[in-house]
Amino acid sequence: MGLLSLAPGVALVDEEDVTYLATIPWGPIVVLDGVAPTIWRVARGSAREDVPRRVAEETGADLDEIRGDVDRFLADLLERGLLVETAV
Amino acid sequence: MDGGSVAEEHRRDVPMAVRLRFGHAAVQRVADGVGADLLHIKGLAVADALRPTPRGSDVDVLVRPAHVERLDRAMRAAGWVLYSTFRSGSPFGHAQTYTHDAWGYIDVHRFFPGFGVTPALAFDRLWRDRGTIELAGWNCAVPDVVGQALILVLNDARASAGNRRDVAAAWEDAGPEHRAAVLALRDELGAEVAFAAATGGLDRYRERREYRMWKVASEGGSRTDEWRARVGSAPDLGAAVRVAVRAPLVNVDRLTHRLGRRPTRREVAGEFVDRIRRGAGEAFRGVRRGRS
Repeated sequence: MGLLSLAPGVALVDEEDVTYLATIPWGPIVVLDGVAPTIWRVARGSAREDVPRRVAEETGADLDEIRGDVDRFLADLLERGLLVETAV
Repeated sequence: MDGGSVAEEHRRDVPMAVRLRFGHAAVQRVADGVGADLLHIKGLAVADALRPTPRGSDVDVLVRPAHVERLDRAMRAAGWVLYSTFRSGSPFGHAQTYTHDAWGYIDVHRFFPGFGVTPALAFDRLWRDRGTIELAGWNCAVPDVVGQALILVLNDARASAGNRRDVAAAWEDAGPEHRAAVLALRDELGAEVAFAAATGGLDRYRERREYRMWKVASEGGSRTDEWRARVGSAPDLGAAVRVAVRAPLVNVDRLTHRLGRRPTRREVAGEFVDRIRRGAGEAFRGVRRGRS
């Protein structure tokens, strides 16, 4: 099991319920809005498999309904190099 | 429930202030990678007390003069494109501008106009009392508040009288202790003439070599006035001759930006002739005014 954390070289700005991320110095700027900033916040420091449950607890959503979407979202962030999963 | 979305910026607008914070962080990361000392100045890097309203459309940094070349190389390797050079950017030759697809414009200053001491000494002095701010999660070095205030005042010295937006908060409305500290730093860095250009009393410095340059910079003047001021302000004969030789040459960077493409040799030649004519016309009108 690994914990998710901000990848090295990623800069971050939170502004009015929107989270902006960028791998510097190259970019581009990635925009997280809607429920995405909540998932992002929950994900950092969590084990990947725990994130859907914690998001469901925070938002009141049904875990079975969101599990797939949340996991795909995390996979996207990992693929873009914005999050890393480190062994504990 | 939508599990969340990731949108790259081309799919939506990114506020300028957000983009600029990333720009500061990005150039800082590049500088860290090559061991270049940077001070972030103006705009978002300024303390709230000196900046009544957020503004700015680019990133400004002052780099230790000995580190300019290494920073330039590293920035170009990381995607910045040179937009205007030290030689073409301004009459002072103090900054060059880069642009980046993600971060927009950045001005890299090798010195700040107005300091009378050498660029290296000025940087050392500001660096000594530096602080740190966080921009987009990155630690960025800034001058202390006194240094920031002095830079803002000197920056305003190059603006027309109606456009001096920072001198009030940085100087006029400040308390006595802050003003005393700013004056002490001004004197230590030999910035009296430029400071007076922004705050008043410039004519007390008529005898100073740089007086005419600041007179033109703060009050405006013709192209010929600017050339004369640049020659007159040059620190030695060699520098004055270089300025004089360069002055009538076409600024190819500006012509490129005006045309939206690299000018042809014929266009550069045409612009050169136009500039000579404009300079001659201004000189001729000056003679006629002198006679009348």
